Amino acid sequence: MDIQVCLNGRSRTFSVEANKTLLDLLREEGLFSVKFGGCAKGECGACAVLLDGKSVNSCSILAVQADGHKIDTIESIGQHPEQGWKRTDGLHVLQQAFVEVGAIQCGYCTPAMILAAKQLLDETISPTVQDIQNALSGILCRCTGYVKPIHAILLAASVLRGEVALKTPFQENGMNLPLDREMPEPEILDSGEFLLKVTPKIHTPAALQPWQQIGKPEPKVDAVKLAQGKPAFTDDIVMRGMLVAKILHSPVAHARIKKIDASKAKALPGVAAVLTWQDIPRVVYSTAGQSDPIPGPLDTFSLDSKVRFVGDRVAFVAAETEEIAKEALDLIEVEYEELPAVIDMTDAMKPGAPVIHDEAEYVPFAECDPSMNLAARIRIDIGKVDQGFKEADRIFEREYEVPKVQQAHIEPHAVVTYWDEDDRLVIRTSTQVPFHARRILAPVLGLPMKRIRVIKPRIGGGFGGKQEILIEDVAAHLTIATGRPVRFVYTREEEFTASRSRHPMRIKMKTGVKNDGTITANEMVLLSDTGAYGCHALTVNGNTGQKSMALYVGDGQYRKSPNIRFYADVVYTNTPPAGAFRGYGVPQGYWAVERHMEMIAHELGLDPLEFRLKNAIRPGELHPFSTSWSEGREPRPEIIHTVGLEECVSQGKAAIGWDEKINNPEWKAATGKPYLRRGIGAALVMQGTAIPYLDMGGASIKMNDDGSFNLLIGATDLGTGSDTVLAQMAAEVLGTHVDDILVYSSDTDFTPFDKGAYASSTTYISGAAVVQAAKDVAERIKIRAARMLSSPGITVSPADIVLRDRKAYAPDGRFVTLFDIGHNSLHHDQQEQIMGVASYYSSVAPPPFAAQFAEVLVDIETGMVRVEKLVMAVDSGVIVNPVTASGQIEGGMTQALGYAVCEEMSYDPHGKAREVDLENYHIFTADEMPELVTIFIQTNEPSHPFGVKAVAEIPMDGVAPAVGNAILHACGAEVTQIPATPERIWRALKKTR
Amino acid sequence: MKLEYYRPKTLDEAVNLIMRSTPRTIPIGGGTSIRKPDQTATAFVDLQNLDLAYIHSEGNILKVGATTKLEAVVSAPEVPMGLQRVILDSYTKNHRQMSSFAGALVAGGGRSLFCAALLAMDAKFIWAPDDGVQLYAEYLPLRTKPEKKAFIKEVQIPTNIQFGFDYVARTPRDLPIVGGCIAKWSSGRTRVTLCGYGNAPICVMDGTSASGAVNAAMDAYSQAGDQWASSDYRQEISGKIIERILIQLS
Repeated sequence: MDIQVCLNGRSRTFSVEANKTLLDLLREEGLFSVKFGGCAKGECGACAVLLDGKSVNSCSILAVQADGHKIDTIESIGQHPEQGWKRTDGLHVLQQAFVEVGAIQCGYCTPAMILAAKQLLDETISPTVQDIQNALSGILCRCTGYVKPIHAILLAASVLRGEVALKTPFQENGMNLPLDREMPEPEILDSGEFLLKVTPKIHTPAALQPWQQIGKPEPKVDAVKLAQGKPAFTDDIVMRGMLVAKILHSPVAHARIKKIDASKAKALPGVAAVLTWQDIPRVVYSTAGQSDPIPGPLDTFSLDSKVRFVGDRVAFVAAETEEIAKEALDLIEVEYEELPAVIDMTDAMKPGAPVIHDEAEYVPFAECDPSMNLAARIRIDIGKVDQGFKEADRIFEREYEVPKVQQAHIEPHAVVTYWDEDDRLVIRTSTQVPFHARRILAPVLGLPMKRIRVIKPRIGGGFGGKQEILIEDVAAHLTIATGRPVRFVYTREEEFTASRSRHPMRIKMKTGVKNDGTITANEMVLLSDTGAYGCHALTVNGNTGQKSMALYVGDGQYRKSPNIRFYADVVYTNTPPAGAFRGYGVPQGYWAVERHMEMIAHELGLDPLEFRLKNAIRPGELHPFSTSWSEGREPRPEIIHTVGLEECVSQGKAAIGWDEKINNPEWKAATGKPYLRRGIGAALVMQGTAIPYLDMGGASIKMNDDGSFNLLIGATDLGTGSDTVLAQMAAEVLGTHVDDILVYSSDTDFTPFDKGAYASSTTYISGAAVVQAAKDVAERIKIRAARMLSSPGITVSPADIVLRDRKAYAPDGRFVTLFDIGHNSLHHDQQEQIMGVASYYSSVAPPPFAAQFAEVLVDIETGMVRVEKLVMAVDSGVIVNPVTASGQIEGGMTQALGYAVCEEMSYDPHGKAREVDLENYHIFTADEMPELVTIFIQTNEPSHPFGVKAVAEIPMDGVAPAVGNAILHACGAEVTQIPATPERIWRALKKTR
Repeated sequence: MKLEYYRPKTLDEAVNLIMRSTPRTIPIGGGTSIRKPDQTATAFVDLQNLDLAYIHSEGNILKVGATTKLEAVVSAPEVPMGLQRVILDSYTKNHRQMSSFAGALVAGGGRSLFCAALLAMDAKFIWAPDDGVQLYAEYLPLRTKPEKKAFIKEVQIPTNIQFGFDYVARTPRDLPIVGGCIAKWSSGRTRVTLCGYGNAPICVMDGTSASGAVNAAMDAYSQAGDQWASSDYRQEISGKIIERILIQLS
């Protein structure tokens, strides 16, 4: 039927089927700012548009319902002000504010947020924070923690009220921030320009060198396009003849496929291909996006004659439309021979348990044993652990449990594949690991690596879920089968039933302690569930011990020779596989370690923070695990040089008011309601920065005629701001501004190799590569500048040239501009392409440290807990960009808060998932957030040119134990299992009575 | 599946479409039904042009047109604050701007605090075509096999009541694990409902006074165990919640 709508200010007529959603119509019309979050019930809100000025979810409205109405998408809100000779009105003030404040991380939900904010500001230009939280309540963001989006809207409102003028992202941004400051209030210049960014408090040692670009809160280099909703993501592309792919998933947890008949599906008009295990080569591989050799078992096939979990792959379909593809799935006839299934990890290694991997092609790694359902086994003994226990005055033992949880990035997994004109297979995919994807897919697809090109557009969040070669093979097989482009996007249900997750674990802690609080020996023994496949099984679980058990080495003689034991059994079960998830095993470990430390401190009557600091690792000490384990590779000793932990504790305590609250019964008793109790808790954590002797990143920089530079990197910015941080490093070395660094990442044909975005490595590893490449370029620039500034009688040495503010200065103050140097090098004199290529790998993995604090309100009758405030003081070395870095902390704390109190994936006895959507799997919304405070404690890590360490993963580690400890403080409830649901707290409370 | 879509301009036209024997036809008023699509439906009748979006107060009755958006309800001065609070706690802004009042009541599940609230208030549906009256309490148990009555025109809610609610969830905006609502009339009549378990909220007591409300709640949820909470937890907490609401209302 025909419908008429006023779309972005223009009257338009469309002919649509009655069942077409408004979302589908708008995306078909090229309005790619309207995003698909995979959900079926409008839970995520990424698809929001303004319908008659009201923010609504376009996935939940039929296009025909919009007939006669006005629809606005962000494409109509604002655009770049300069488009060649054409000028526009520029960005909307909200778009500018989102860019300026740093409210955009991955940018996938940004258009929806800005539209919701526009509705609000159209209704009132004096909104309260509560109004804004309410306006954003229907739009889930997994990156930001909502802090900066809320601030951006407040800023835009004040601009609309005429109180301040906003600096546009197209103007030079020369702001320098003081080194040790808090910026809770807007800074308004005499000119009326509003220069507030939501920056954290930064504590800086006086000795730290000031830089031109490092430490500046630069807007993200991709923020302007994301604020406009440009088609930057994998699925924002239309190709002629493109097919839609779908997977037939297993309805049973464990079965052999006795018979599969796809003939009816193939005969359905509009179906281009149906593939079963009988149609494609049987190549065993691992879906883990890791370096070669994969440190884990090869136990996966694109399609197999056996299914190992509810959601496992049975067949692939490619069809002209999604509806036809779905219909074809229903026509595939499958006869299963059901096998006994293992759902609970404690059953996996019992005698007689069903063997999940009995395939002949299975390639084991290290100590795995598929006949026992053992995907990985780790046995690490450091020092003399049993002797340490003998020397202890007290032994403390307890068991802890952590759940399986989902990354829940708002952009689902998405891929488009096609043959190019050279018969090379192009894979456009939302991946954290484009180079690993190319390497791993080549044998699976029967193609030499050189005939595969992987393009990574912008990523709408990944958090480890896209460190997996998860769906690229599906589309690629179908492109090979049909010769046509294929698009495949996961639904939200598939994200829950057929993707990856955080490993659930049961962890036993045993700690020997002297009466004075000296730890004499510490032991962690864990059982972990990798699900049906062993991707990341060894490395995730190894990190659990390697990071969390390294923090407390003991004191006195034990500090010199710590006694630490870490044993792990990682088992297969018939549930969806676990994999990489931000923190990579470490949050699991810290739940146990930090709850355990709290219990010990209480039992011994010690101050919990002093007890921790007494035993914590210090600068100049050996990382205790560095001689024992390194992600399945040869370990090498590593000294830790920078530890800002004491200052983190000091600053964090002050920020949360620790001393005023910890022994204050009046504060604990919430007024008015006798059943409420307040509590405060802390946890100390350390992470890692990259994988030593393994992770490598490359960078290429070339200078252009106008003095700008192309920075080509294989590193993958999944919303973190790493492209911006790397550009700042290049700009620092080259004496230019970030505006003149044009970042492109990543494409396996054009950008240098990079291991990808994981292990908190990009700023450190890829950054060091960028610095070296920039130094090579700077050297060529200085040689040429010296020549240009020399004249008869005046010789300028390249070594004396200083690059600053887009100029090369001689010692006497004369200069040539980078523009002149670019022109000179390419056109005028001894022509050359000034460029540099470098790569970097590290022999160390300097850990960041943090002190995490939480304040909670517990209902002691129902067990319901509300987290009211989170404070994180972090030593991540030098902070390159305080806005992007604090965004990482805020977003990470928010994810970790979900881990602490509400996120959990569970299965019925048949392996069927309880959570298949974002309604039952609850992630925090804007209108229920606690106050978040970020403090950076800068240290100067000597192994990096700018002194940086990692920031991305550490915020995942401490929130849950800090919340658990705060619950204990509030009401005495010892919760040993997360999430700390009302019932778990209620049961723990009952034990105290 | 090919779907038909109609947007009638009159009630009669809408009734005729919905009452026909084939194809199976369902009314839609906002986004709720699309979010939970009826797989057997092959025709939609969109009620948006029928002037059913209104809020009127007549005596002690609040009349809410079936297609009134939830967002309009939370900003209408005629609507009791307790009901507005329930809607604000249960739906995001986007959902409130899409979902119709009646649609949300029809589609709400066992964990819906909004449905529990309207059940406590003893809300009534006024059906087209004949203005037939049906208590929401009568509709809920039968909604999986509804009588063919065309569509809901209006929802009527008494305003001469005291209303209170409380719930326990993992976070403030999560679905309730246990929720309770109480409506008290000046006559002493007290209706107590619970949500958080099963396919629909339940009315656990409709008495002449509040006496026995706590025990009724605990008894009703004594077997209410599922993957989200055990029955002993729900039993104790439902009693606690009802006790607290009674204190609020006293």
